[in-house]
Amino acid sequence: MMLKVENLEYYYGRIHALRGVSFEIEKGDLCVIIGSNGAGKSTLMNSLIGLLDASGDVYFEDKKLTRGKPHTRIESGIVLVPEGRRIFPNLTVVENLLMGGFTIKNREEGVERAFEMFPILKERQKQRAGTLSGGEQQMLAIGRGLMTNPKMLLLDEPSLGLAPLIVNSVMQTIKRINEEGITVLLVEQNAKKALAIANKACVLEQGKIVRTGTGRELLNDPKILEAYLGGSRKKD
Amino acid sequence: MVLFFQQIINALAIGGIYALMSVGYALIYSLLRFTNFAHSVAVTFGSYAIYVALTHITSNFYLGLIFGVLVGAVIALIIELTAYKPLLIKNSARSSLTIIGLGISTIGTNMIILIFSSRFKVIPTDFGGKSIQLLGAYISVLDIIIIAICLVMLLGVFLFINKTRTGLAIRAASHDLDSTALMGVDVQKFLSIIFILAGAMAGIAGVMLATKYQAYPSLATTMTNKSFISSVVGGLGSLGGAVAGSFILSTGEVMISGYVSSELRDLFSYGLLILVLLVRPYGLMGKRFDDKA
Repeated sequence: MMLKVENLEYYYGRIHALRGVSFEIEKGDLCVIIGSNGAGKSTLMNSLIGLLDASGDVYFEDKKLTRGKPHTRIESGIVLVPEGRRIFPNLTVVENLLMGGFTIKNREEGVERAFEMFPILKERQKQRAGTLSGGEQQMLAIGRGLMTNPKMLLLDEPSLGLAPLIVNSVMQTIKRINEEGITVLLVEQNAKKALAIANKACVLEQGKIVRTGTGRELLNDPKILEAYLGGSRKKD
Repeated sequence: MVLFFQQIINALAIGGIYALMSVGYALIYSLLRFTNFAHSVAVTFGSYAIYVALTHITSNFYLGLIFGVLVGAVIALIIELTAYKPLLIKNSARSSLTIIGLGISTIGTNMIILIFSSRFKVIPTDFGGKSIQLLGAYISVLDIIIIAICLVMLLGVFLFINKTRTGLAIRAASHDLDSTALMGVDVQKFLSIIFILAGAMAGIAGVMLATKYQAYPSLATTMTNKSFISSVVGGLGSLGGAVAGSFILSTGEVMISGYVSSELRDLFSYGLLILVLLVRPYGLMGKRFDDKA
């Protein structure tokens, strides 16, 4: 078992944002969690990486993770590519990648691999990251996330604010990363495109997992179709 | 012309000391978005550390300087760990941190009065009143030492920020501290390093100030006010701005003291602060932040 989450609970003041979230991810999975705005997707991701101090148990490779402290999660092999990309706009593209490898000794290899994966980043390596387009920034955020060669990559809404064609290419990249052996947990509002690449999927509603299945099962479920995939329009 | 040259040297020495302190303000502001008003305590303790070192421990000024650096760094670390860290972990409002800092600054000054009384303390050095003649002007040896040490320190900080891994993390964190945590930076340890760095520079500044003006309890608060003005003029949170602001302020002050009247010096400093806040509140090189505290 790669990741096992048990009864995760989180409150923002009085707002109960995560209500006993439990799920499991096997090594090599590409798991998608879909949910609408405010369902608790980012809260879940930030709790998994330790930015938020949620109660409940998280096991990574059968070892219980201590609460809090993101840097210990990164050392154990989990990396989060956060919502809104959050690249460092004041640093150059290369410096952003080097920051991604803050905890490792030899960072050249990772930079080369990121350039191989995203040739546009190589072209722009000396440019300030803030001057990149949204799609390029997302590539940079993913490349930065891969710098430590993680066992598991968490991606929080990588399609946010990107043009449909770019979203397709981001999804293909995520699939490729997964095929290279990295376990992926992807949280998305863009359910259709995310489910299409997933082998496992969960639906998060008001802080609770209400449905699990394979990506295909959820894609073909009429209820899910109506709620998340714009299926209701067919009735018009 | 001789007076002008002499004043320029004086401005460089004072500006260098301001810069050591204002870089500390800028570093902490750029990461945590609050002004560390307890910064003056590290300067105060640095200024008394050199006094204690040279009267009780050693006669070597440079050993005393190192002692002052250590004292400044340790004081800053203690303040961070006991006062700021608990509030930061609770995610308190930045204004609470600012107020706590002001309180600590008052406590620090009064502790010094309790221990050393409020009398002026002369720092015994070999080069006390010595000066050398250069281009017709008399330049004090102390000013030359101050300028040299300040330049070396500022260059060291510049290299540290631009060439090291921790420096890169500082630049990244100045934009987004939470994201650096996602990169694997242990934020609490990282912040302690920043406070140690700022405190060490404050310690050096304290040593220089005491040696130049004698040590007295309100010395550091007066001088850190000036360096705070420098960092506002340069743009809060900008290291380059803090250094530039320091030399602009010291040059203005020294020239006004020399050519107009030394009574107008502080009027100039605080007038400049008001002018900058009215005309260009984010300073010469500052970024615009939503919440300044």
